[in-house]
Amino acid sequence: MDIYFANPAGFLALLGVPAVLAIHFLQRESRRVHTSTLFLLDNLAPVSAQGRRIERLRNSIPLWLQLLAVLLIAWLLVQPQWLRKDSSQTVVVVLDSSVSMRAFREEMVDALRRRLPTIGSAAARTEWILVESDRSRPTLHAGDRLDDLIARAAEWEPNLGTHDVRSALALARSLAGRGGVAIFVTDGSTSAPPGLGTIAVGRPIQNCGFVGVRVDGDHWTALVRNHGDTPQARKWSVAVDGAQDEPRTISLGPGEVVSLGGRLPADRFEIVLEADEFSLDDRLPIVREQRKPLALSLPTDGDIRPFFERIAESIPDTMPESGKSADIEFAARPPTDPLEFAGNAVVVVGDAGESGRYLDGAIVAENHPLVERLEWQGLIAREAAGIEAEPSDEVLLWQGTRPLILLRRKGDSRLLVVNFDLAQSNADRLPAFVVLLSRFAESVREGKAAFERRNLETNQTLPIPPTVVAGSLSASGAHIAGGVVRASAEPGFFEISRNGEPLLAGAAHFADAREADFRSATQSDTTHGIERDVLERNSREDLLTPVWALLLGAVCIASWAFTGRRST
Amino acid sequence: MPMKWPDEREIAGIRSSARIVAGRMRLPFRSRTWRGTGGNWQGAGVGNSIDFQDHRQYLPGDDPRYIDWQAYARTGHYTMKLYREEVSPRVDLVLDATASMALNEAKRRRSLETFYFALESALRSGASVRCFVTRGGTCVPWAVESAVIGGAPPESEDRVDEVPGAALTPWRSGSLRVWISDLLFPGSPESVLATMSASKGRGILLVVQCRDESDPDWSGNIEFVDCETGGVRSQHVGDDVVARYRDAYTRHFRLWREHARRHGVALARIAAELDLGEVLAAEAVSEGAVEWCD
Repeated sequence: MDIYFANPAGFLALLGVPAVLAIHFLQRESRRVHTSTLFLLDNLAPVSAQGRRIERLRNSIPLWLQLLAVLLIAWLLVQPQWLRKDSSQTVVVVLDSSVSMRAFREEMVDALRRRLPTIGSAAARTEWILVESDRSRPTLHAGDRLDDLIARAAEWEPNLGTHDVRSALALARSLAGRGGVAIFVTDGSTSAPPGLGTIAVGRPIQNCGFVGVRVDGDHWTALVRNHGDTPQARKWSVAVDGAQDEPRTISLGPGEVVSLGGRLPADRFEIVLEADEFSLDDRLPIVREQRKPLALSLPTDGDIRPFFERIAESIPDTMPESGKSADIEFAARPPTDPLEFAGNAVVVVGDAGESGRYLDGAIVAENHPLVERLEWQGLIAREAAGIEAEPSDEVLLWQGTRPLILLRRKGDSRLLVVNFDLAQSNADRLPAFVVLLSRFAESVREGKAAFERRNLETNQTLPIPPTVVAGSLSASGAHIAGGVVRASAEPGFFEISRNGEPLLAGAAHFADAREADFRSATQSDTTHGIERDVLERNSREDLLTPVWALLLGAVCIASWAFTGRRST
Repeated sequence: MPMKWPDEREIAGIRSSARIVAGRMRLPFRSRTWRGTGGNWQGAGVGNSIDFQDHRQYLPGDDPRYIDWQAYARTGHYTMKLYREEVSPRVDLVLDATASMALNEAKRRRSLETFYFALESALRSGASVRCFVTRGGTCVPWAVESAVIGGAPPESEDRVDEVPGAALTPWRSGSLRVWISDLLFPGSPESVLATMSASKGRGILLVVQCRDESDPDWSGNIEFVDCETGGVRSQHVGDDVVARYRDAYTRHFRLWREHARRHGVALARIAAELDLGEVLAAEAVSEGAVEWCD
C-alpha cells in the first residue's frame, strides 16, 4: 500500500454518507408529482393517512451527487499522501528486559503484530531491528522480514530486574537514524527520550509472591507479599523432590507482607505458592546453607590476644588453625620486622611505648569496600612507631598524614596492617574497627576455593575466588559467560563445579519486589506521532487535490441545480 | 380547480393551428342526415333542395309549389314532387375545463386545439353551434361569440365526485354532440354516454391524453398531488406499481370504449405529444369522429 492519510480524522466526514442516505430515506416529500389519475392509484395499494415515515431509498441524481460530494469532502479532509518509491526507514524495537514483561508476553506480541505493520508502511522499504534493553545480550533480529521479528519477540525471555534503559534507548535511536523509528516496548509508564515512541503493554494485575528467604540453622523463613491493591488469598505448600505436602492458605491484605517458616525438611526443597499471572515469584527454592570454613591463627601471647580471640568468636564458621595453613593469621610485629606471611593476615605493627602522645589531625577513610560507611571519628590512638606506606599499599584510614590502617598485597594474599598501637587505643571498643576486621575475614572467605551451599537471587553474580580459573568451572543451572558466573535466571537449584568437584550448590529465587509490583503497569502507545513524521518525510501530496476541489464545487452546484429544478 | 386559460397570444396560436387542421378535416357531418334549419347538409326530411326524393299524393295543406303538374296532366291527380331537405346541422360542443385537461403544457394546448378544431369545423360547415363548459359536476353555456374570439369560458362551481357535467348538458335533439375531455374521473361512463346518444343525437368523444398519464416515469418515493382536488397521496412506486397502474389505465379506457360502442358514440383518443393532424388522421378518422374534407 503506497498511500496514507495525513488526517485520518477526516474519515469522520464519511458519516455524511449515512446522513445523506437517512435524509433520502426519511424525506416524505421526496418527489412531488401532480397527477390527474389519482383515482386509479387509489385502487392499487392502500396507504395510511399520514403516509410512511421511512420510505425506501429512491434512486435519484441528487442522491448520487450528494454521496459523491461527501466522498470528495472526505477525500480532501483525510489529505491523502503518496509514498515515494525510493523511501526507506529503519525501525528499531527495544524490548524492556525487565522480568515483569513476562506477564505480558501475549499482549506484547499482539501489540507488535498490530502496530508494526502500520509503522512499516510508512516507507517503501523497512529494515527491522529487534534488541532488548539488556545491553549484554546480542541483537535479537535484523532484517527486512517483520514476521521473523515478531517470531523472535515471541520466543524472547526477559530476565533482568529493574535496570537503566537509557543507554539502550540511545543506541536504538542512533541505529534508527534520522529517517527511522525507535520504539521502546515496556509494561509501564516510561518517559522515553524525544524522537522515540513507546508502546506500553502492561496492565495492573494482582500479584502475590515471595520477596525474600532466610535460613538460620535448621529453620527457614520466607516472606510473601501481596503486591496488589485488593485482598488476596493464596495456597502454599512445601515440595521436597517434587512431592508437595498439604496446601495451606494465607490471606494477604493490599501491600501486606506475611512471614512463612518452619524446619528444614531436607537439604534442598521448594516453597510453592499458588500460581498467578506472574509466576516467577511463585516458587522459592531453598537449600540448607553451608558456609566455607575459615581457619584462623591467633597469636600465642601478648596484649592483643584477648581482643583477637573475641574477634574470632564473632566470626561464624571458623576453626582454629596454627601457622601457615590458616586462612587468616592474626599477629603483632615490631615495625622494624619484615612483614612476611604465607597467607592472609591481620598485623598490628604500631608500638607507642610508655609515653606516646595522642595522635592529632583529621581521621579520613578512603573509598574502599572494607571501610565503606564506617564511622572512625571516635578512634583515639597514640603516636607510635610504625611503617611507611609503600606505593602499592592501599591506605584505608588516615589521621593527618599518618596511615593508620592499610592493605598490602603480596601475591594472592593480603595483609591488613594496623599501623598504630592497638593495645593503647580504643579501637577494640570501636564498632568500625570490629566491622573492618569482620569484612576482611569475609572477603578472605569469599576468595577461598571451598564447597559451600547458599541461597541466592536469580541472576546474582557470584565472585570467583582468585585461585580459581574461570575456564576450569562448569555449571549446572547457572551461567558462566565472559569470566562472570551468575546464578540461574529462573528460580531453581544450580551447581558449580571445578574440575568435577562441587564448588557451590545453590538455590536461586526471584526477589525483585519492584518487578513483581504491577500496580503501575499500564497501556499506552506514543508511536503515532513518530509514525506520522516518518510518513510525511517519505511521502508527497496528492497532486490532484485541486482537481478534486473543483469537482466538489461542480458536484455541489449540480446537486443544487437538480434539487432546485425538481422543487420548482 | 379549473383549467388555467391561456393569454391572447397563445390562444391565437392555438386557434391558428386548429384552423389549419380544420381545413383538411372536419366533424363527420357527411356521415348521416341532420335536422335543423336550412343549410347545406342533407336533412332527414323533405326540403327544397334540387335532389329529388319521392312522389306522393297531394294532401290538403301541402305547398302547391311542389305539385308535379306534368303528372297531373298525365293522370289528372294532384301529385306532389318531393325533394331532399338541406339543413344546417346542430352541433353541441362541450369542453371539459377541469384542471386535468391542463395537466401539462402539451395536454392543455392539445385540449384547446381540439376544441377549436371542432368549433372551426362546425362553423365552417354552417352548423348551428352551441358551446358548453363542464367542470366536475357542473355544465354552463359558453357563448359561441366569446369562444370564437378566444375569450375565457365562464366561471362555474367545480363540484367533483358527482355526476359528470357532460351528463347535465342540454343536448339539442338530433344534434352532433362533441365532448372534448380526458375522461379521467371515476364512475361509470353510462351516465354520460346515455345522454349523448339520446334524442337522436350523434355523440363524439374526443379524448385528450398525454404520456404523463399513459406512460408515467414514476419511480421511488412520490408524493402524488391530485391536480383537481389537491389531495395528496405518498407512495413508494416501484416497477410493480407502475405496471398495475398502466393496466388500470388501459382498463379504464377499454371500459369507456365498450360503452361508447354500445351507445354508438365515436371515441377517438387525441395524443398530446404528436401533431394534431396526424393524430386525428390516425384514429379519429377510422373511428368516425372526424372525416376528410372534400
